[in-house]
Amino acid sequence: MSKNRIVTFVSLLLLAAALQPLVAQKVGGDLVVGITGDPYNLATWISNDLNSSLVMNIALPSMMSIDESGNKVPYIIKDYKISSDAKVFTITLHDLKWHDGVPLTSEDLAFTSDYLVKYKLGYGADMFSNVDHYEIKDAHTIAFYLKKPQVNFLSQVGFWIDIVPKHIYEKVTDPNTFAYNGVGYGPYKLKSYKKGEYYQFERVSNWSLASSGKGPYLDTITFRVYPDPNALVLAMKSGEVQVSGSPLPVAAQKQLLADPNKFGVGKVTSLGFGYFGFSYKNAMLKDPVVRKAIAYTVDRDAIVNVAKQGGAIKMDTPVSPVYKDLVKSQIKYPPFDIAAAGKLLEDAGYKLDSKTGLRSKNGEPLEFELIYRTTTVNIDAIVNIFKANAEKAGIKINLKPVDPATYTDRVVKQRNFDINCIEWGVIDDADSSLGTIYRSDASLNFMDYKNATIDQLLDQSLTEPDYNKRVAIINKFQEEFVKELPVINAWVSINAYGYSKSYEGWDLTPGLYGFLDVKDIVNVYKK
Amino acid sequence: MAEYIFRRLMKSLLTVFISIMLTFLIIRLMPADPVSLMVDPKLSPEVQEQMRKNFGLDKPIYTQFGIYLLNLLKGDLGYSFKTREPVITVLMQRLPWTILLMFTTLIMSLAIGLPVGITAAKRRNKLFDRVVNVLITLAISIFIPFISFAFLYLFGYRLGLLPTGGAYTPPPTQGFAYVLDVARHSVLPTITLFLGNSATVILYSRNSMIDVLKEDYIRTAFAKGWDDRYVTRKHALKNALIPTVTVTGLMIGSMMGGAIMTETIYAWPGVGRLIYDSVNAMDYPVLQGAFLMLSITVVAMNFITDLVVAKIDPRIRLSGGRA
Repeated sequence: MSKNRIVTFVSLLLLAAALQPLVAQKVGGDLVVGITGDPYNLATWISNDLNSSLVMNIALPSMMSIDESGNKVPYIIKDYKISSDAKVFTITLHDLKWHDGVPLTSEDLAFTSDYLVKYKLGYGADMFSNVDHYEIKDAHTIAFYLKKPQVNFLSQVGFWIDIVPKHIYEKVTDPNTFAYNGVGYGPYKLKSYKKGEYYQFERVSNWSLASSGKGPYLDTITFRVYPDPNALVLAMKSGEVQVSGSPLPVAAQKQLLADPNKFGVGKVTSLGFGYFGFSYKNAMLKDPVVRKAIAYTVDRDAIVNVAKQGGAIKMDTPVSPVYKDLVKSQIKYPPFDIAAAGKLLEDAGYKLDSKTGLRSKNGEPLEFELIYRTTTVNIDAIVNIFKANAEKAGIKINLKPVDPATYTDRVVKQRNFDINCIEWGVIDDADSSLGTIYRSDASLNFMDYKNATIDQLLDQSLTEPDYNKRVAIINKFQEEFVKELPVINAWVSINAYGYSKSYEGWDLTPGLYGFLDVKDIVNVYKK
Repeated sequence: MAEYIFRRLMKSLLTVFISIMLTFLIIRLMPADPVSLMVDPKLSPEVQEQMRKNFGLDKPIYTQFGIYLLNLLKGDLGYSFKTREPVITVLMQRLPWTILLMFTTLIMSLAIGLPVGITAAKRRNKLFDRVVNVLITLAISIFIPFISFAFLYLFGYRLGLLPTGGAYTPPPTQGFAYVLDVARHSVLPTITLFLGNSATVILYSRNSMIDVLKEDYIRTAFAKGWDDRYVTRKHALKNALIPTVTVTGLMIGSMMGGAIMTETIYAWPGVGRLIYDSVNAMDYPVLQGAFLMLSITVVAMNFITDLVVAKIDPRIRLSGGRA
């Protein structure tokens, strides 16, 4: 061994020895998290709800996590390789154990794939449906061979699907009613719970992916359900809860910020976005001039600052600004300009009736119904801003607020509407997955929008393994999209989470779980 | 009396059956089917179809109703869409918390409401009666979320005397400490429910006592020289209680599921909050089960109330029905 190597080795040993007490000092503390919804089921592969995933993400962490730019990065995965044709994914898992002592292996991942497809369980069944076969290379490595190229196979499966414990489920023939006990492989293990009341997790000491192998700091994390966000804030202010696991409305944030020495509010942009969509079944909305004119009337500043009370950022690009690489091209929607909207319509023969203030062409008035779900946050203010500006340009908008059941029936099932307004919860992997919304045959293409060029570009983005090339493809897609305007994206909500300053180490990255994202919560400690 | 009980029982069973049918149909006749509402449209048609099969929604509606009725006879209310647990288990987990809240509120409402109502009636138009009238009006018209937040803010945050939510501090302790913890957590929701319910008891007992005190037989009793307390206890109270007993029975029925607002704001894990969560999650089997339980409670309370009233007022059972 050379002298330098010995010096390095000794230095590392000393550093590790020096860090040891620091880690030990931070260990301890019982964090109470307030969430506004009750988790449906501990088995996240069954439940498909955010609160279940939020609570269980500290026991069953996703294989992939999200970085500051919205890109998926490995977490439980140690290493991966994607073949040049995007058909073979070789995945190596970290050396971890299930909380009952059984090693986590590539067999578990293979079993997850088979099991979810066999029992047609939620997203997992769809996401693994492209697997032709797999090959277990060693205890921690597996290669998935896909039927057709899919560049986002790993980022979708790795982010959305938790690994199913083979040793627990291999004899379970009715996974829907099986009482799963919450055994996971994450930094916290489920200690006790009562549905609708609380879920308490305890620290897994020496969990290898946190604090250089020393595990997370907090002794316990307890989730308590407060259905009302205002009651949750009062629980935080009275010291019963230290962090909100669910996003807080603007008024609730202000209550916490009134006491800046004790509380802070962390903000992160949502992975979803709000939009206005046009039905191509409506003959007038099929006219690109009408869609462009409406696009000119969307006042994003008013939506963000007035309707959303500052709880959102403007989205004037077809892709969410969360995905920084994809919006560098600055391909934007038409700006807010009511005069331009009026001129465009006038030139296209939509004449203004000075008495009614409405435009019409060939006796057909420019009049549309705007359907929206009353449960969307701040939606009344948003649609009223939209209506007021459209009517200034001579386009009559009739608001149609409906309950979720009617909205699903009219928009999702029947696709019987003129214009709809809603907010997507999560649109991830924007460089490869926009086909799920905008492809001609996509289940989420409620607009019945069909464009062969768009289809081709979206297919290319799904099969191109090179990231930079995918960015270029998505830029071409955006250029085509702003010409077509099948939807007008308008805002990206900001998710805000309150926290107590008696704890430190808080961090937020885009994602689903706020401060409770497993990669971040392992760094939180009591002061 | 036996014939009277039999007739009331038959009527009650018919009411429950109609309620089962209506609840079942209302949910099925909603604009979109439960699976479409519950699942992400992103899921493939095959997975959505599998979910329909899992929940038995792939069968014709009359077959679904037949299966539902047969299962109901076996005590099987189906499985929750949300938690995949048997609905009966989900309801039984929540019911004790609601019963605790309900009985505490009821006992307090009757223990305080009856004497106050009767005293107000006897001191009609005097200061005590006027104050009671103002308080009743306030308590009946109060907006539950407003008063709940006011209590939470004052007692939970400002004064720090009481907890802000839940039924206990998790994880639950054992023995007397646990009882004490639950008691502390139940104070605010109980007081919130007590306000409205006690006002109803006061209102009914006061008004019916006023009516009874005007009756000839009361005047006759006084003319015989009996003292005020004896006349009230022996002659007036029994008759004045009839409307109060009826309204108390109905109160129990509505409190079983009607404390939705209170249970939600105080994060109380009872049936009311379960209904709120199930509406949000579109968990129709649980809603169906909760409404069934609710209708059975209301019908049972009506039945019991009728029996109690018949016992108090012999004219009812003799005439074979109530006016």
